[in-house]
Amino acid sequence: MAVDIGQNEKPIIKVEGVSKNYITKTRMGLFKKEIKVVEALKELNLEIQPGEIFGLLGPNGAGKTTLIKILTTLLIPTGGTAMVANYDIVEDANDVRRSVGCMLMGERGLYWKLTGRENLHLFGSLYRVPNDYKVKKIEWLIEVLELEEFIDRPVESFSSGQKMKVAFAKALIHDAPILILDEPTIAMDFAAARKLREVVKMLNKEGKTIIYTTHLMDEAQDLCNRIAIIDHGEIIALDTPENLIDQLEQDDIITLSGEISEKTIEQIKSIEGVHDMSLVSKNGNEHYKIICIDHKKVLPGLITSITANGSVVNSINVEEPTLGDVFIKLTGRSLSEDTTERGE
Amino acid sequence: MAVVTLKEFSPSLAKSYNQKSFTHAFWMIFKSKWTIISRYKGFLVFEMIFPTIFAALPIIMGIAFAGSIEAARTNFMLQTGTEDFVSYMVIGAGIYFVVNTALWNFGMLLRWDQQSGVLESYYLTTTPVPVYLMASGLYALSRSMISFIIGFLIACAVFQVNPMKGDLLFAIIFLIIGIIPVYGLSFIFGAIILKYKQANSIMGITQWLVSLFMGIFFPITILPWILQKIAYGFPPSWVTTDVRASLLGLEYYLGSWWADLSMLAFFAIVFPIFGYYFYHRIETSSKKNAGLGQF
Repeated sequence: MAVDIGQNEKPIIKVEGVSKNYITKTRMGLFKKEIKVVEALKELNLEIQPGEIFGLLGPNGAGKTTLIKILTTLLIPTGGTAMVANYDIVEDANDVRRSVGCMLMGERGLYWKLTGRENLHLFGSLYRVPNDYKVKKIEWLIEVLELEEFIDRPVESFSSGQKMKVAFAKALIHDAPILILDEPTIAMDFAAARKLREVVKMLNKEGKTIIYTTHLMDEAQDLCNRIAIIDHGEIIALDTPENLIDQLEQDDIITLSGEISEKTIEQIKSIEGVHDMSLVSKNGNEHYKIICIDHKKVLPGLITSITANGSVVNSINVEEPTLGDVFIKLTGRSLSEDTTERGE
Repeated sequence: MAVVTLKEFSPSLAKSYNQKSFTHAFWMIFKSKWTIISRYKGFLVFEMIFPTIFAALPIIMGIAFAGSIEAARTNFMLQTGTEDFVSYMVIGAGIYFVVNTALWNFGMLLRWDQQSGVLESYYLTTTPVPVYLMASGLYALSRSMISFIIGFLIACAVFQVNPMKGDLLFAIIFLIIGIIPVYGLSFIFGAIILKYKQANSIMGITQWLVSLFMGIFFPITILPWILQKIAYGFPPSWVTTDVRASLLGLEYYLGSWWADLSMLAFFAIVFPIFGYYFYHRIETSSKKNAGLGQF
């Protein structure tokens, strides 16, 4: 990655034993109600280094948004402490807010009767950015995030993706050293999402530390230096995307279609690292499925066997384990499943 | 267009925590609230004509019960000390509107901001909450005062009442000083709405209680004894009585204008302090549970 993450530096975010309980009331008929305590976070520990893009992955209700709200001073933890940019989230709440630009609540958080530009001016003033810098910054944001076309229209007339772009601009208005982005591309089309990721990478190169939550595994894999997988209020895995996938110890799968001779099959099966090769049928089409430890080591021998024995290959596809597989392995569920006991 | 690089902006700039930045944040909140309401024109028109419609019902009923406007004046004089019952009703309706919108605007404003997610956005910024509350309060005050003045003039024109009789300056002073404690009450009202998320039902109950205790169409001296005592602790009752006393030459609560004004000044100090303390307690308790974003 472009940013040199100072692993030996003092962490820019340090979470120590943070827990958060919610009290919920369940109606039991007309007058009775049951009071229940839900543990949204369970003594969570976490350190984020300056310059990192840190991914937070987890299904709905896992505790991601609760953690983000604690780090941005919107919630007070039930137990434990957290430091953001060396400021205590409870004792120095205003300094924490100054240090964090936050895109939370998706497209909400903007006045819909005001234009995009009026919203940016308002929130720039609320972050107390000096007026001359604020004006320049808004122009810069309009250009970089390509907002010219709609920024002077009322927000109520925006598409969801346009609202998300302005919400993102709002998070950048006071030039905070830490950015917290909660599913920023959720309502964006492919091109807009790609543009936003480019800006995120650029901001990271400028030295900003970024916490990024997403449901999109490819996005997390593309952007993040490290990823924490959070489930039921606990961090169940924390590492680089590559290490998380390696820890999976899952075989690679190579699919092969074409006219493959018996001799070729025998040779492929004898290649070191190949566990199995079988003929499978899917939607009336037949192809060979090769299960191996590491496709990169197997492929040269595979190609040699095919060419040496005159077999004809129509296509070769490689399926590697993804972060999605890591998530399923760790939690037993896919990311799209909801584990919410109460709304995050 | 001049392109500036990100490096021109440094986090240290955001450290410019000075008085000017506070004032600017205050002004921007106030201005944005006015910009938003200016885009709901129907709302503003309704606010101007509401006092006239509200006062018309008891005025016409009074004439119908008495048989003629002269008979109505004589009967009203016996209860209130003035035979100008039209002005009495118009002033009551106008002040009720100011008080009601102060409470309603503020509580609903918080609720709207909570539901739209903007309240959480405010809490993410470095502008302290009291600045947001004061700017929102000033917006609600200015809006209701403008509506009161225009609405009062419309009602005077419709019912052919001279708005310039009596001591107008005193009436305005009483109104301005007297509305400050109402904002203290509005902090409490807003906090209750944030906590229980029942804006409409709380507002409905409050509107009727307010109209009862402040005596919009009658002197509170005709209320049952226990209700009179409650009304004396309610600042809007004093404002209504004192504005009527200034404009219609009626008696002040404590016998003189300065004694009543001192009492209102006392309320103007105590109620906002207590109101903010209450709001802060609810806010902290909310942050300890699910937060202000839950609606």
